[in-house]
Amino acid sequence: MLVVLDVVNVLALSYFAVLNLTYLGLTLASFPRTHRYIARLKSLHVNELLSAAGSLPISLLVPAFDEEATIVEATRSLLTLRYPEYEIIVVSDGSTDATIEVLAEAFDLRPAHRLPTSAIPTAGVRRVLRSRVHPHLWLIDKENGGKADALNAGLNHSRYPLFAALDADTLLEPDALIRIARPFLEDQRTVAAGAMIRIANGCRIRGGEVEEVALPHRLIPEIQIVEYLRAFFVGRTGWDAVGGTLIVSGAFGVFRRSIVAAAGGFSTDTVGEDMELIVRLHRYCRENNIPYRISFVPDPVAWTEAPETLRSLGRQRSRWQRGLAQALTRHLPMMGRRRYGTPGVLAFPYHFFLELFGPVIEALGYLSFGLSLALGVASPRFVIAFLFLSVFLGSALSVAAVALEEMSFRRYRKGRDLAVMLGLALVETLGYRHLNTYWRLKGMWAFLRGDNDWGTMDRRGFGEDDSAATSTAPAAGGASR
Amino acid sequence: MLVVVWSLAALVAVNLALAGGVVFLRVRNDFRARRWHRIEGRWYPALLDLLAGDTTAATLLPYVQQSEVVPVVEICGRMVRRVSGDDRKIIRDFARPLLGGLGPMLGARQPEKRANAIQLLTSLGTDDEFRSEVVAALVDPSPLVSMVAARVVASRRRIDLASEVLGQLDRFEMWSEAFLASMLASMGSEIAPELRDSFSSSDCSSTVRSVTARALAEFRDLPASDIAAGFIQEDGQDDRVLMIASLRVIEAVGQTKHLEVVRPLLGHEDSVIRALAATILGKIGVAADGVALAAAVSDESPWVAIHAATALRLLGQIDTLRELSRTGDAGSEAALEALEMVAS
Repeated sequence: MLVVLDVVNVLALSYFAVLNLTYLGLTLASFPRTHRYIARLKSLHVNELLSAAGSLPISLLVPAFDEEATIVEATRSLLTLRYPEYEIIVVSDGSTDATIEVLAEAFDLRPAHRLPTSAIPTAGVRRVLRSRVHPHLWLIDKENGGKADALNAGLNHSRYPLFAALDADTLLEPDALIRIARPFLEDQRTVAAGAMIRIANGCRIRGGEVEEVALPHRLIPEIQIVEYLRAFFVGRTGWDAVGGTLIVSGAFGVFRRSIVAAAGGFSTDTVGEDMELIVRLHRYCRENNIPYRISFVPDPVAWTEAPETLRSLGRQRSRWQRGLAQALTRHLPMMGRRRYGTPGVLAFPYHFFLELFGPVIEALGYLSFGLSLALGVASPRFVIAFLFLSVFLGSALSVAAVALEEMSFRRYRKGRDLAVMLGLALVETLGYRHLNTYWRLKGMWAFLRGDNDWGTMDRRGFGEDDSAATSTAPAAGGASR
Repeated sequence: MLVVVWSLAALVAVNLALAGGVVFLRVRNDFRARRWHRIEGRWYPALLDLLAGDTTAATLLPYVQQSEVVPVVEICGRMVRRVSGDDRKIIRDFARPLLGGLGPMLGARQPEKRANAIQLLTSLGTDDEFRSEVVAALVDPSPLVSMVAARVVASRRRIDLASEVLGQLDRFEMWSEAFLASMLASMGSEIAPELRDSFSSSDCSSTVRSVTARALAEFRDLPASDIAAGFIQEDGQDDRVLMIASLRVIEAVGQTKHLEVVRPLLGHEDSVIRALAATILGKIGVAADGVALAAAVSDESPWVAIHAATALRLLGQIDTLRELSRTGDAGSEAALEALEMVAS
């Protein structure tokens, strides 16, 4: 028994050590990266890039399922984006409410012809409509097939060299497109770019724009803000610095159309189609000797609504874990192979061993730690090491993420907001992390059972005063990872 | 047990200290922001007064403290981008004596700082000033600094520095070709002879030739079409990128004499080349080209089908399009789409 405990303890300690040291490395890579990016913004102004005639046109793909309450406002908001040339393709994924009718009425949509430019298989497209008042606004009415299927239908009908995959409930900042298009201008090998996803709960929103950034007054979304800062400032920026980006959030990412179409579009049999696509793009480009780059850009911002209840959050995290498992197991041949460069040698093993199997090892570790304490066999050195690695180092890294926000974009200007974020960063590893472990374990179990259901997402919606009624929407638009 | 408690207390203290560091960062940032707002609050209205003629540069300049030089130059740099004509000159005249304060930034280790300094110097200096700094920046080891200098040269239409920019194009190989072409085109058609030289020179890299070709197409340089046609005829098959760039030149400024070069390309194995050939035939082709274009509407590539249908519309062959739209095969949707464009 004691031997088993010892083995599990050593395994858990090693896991926490490797996980946190990797995160520490990513954090150390993120600081200079972010600092230089901010400095770079000063020398090549967004407005000048906006006026450059060489900007690549973008198709915005907006999958929508039963979004009658929000789709008109969301579309209006997209119509006001600052970008030289873009089109909006809303894809109604078999909506059963009046999504199509409200759009048709608001924008004078009429049946139109549009030859698909790629042939990625999708559920049947019933008709294509085009706005007479905004000729670059299109609606594809198709049978239900899920978010990835809707994106594929949009991709088939898009005409521009770049496309952006959006959630219908994502709010883009007005210059988000020009900012995210930047890597495509600066490096023509770029095939995909991810943006910063921020949590809109608590912010004042008017006319589809975030007017005032503030923390929500509820613990669950508040703690997710710190989590997102860590995931994006440390995780995404760090992996981008070493060329190992494996995730571009489904809430907002921009892709080179031709490469994604050639690689087969979005996978429809996974709940993590965003990550699966990025892993597949790495694989496709490497196997076909296509020079490529996948970037993360920290300044284009997409605002999304975070779950406000434990139940909803648990479902989301469980689904993310399933998506992670599906994406990684599908591309196992990449694991550790030099042919796949940094993504294969570093990022893939990290995500596989530390992110995918992390919850299992963590859960065993906590159990074993508790048992060791209860049986009185835990040495003081072990207790200190365990708590240092599993609690304190994690907190320190969350504090570092808040520091990165403070040294870069400083969106949360109120002193109270900073204090709350720091407080949450310090205590996040006590309890919340364990809940996450539990949800991720459930996700693993669902993956092993072959569950492929998106589930539902409780949404309050972006009301003018953030007080819209709660709705439960099937996650056609999905949630941001 | 005591060891554990003390160790945990130490770990808590370390984390609290880290959090304290962030608070310190906030205090420092707030201090800097307040200082910036204070400087901006004082100088922005003063510069507006200057523009309104209520004060003069000579009156204001003595009030610029040594520690405020760079922020004031940055405020001027921001302002000069928003104004034009005489107002721009007034701001530049005011800022000129302060630009020497950017010297340390020009020699900074961080390329981003050097790039920012070049940006400010050139937006606030006249064309003849800082020429040597711009030339030095063009060959700066950092491609960012070099690009900023090239953009400045292009936006200020510094024809005298065009060859220096062209000499650096290879270093911008990673940048989007369309972006580079548009940057060169913004210099105006005066640089066309140099662009033509690059386009036709086999000593230049394929990327440089392609970028210069696209720039020539952007300002519709007629003589470039002969170079493009010549390239397609002689070496086109060896270089896809350059072939496409050449076709874009012919698309922009081609004449009927180039049709013989383009027509065979409608059967090329590369769908991008077929699509471009179809577009060109639509623009400069004759009625007889309608037959080949009608066949291309049923091309296996939807891009070729769309371009061919659009070409038929440009040739005015509406009846052919109507006929194609009734076939019900893959090309009929392309024909219907083109007909819709006619209707709208």
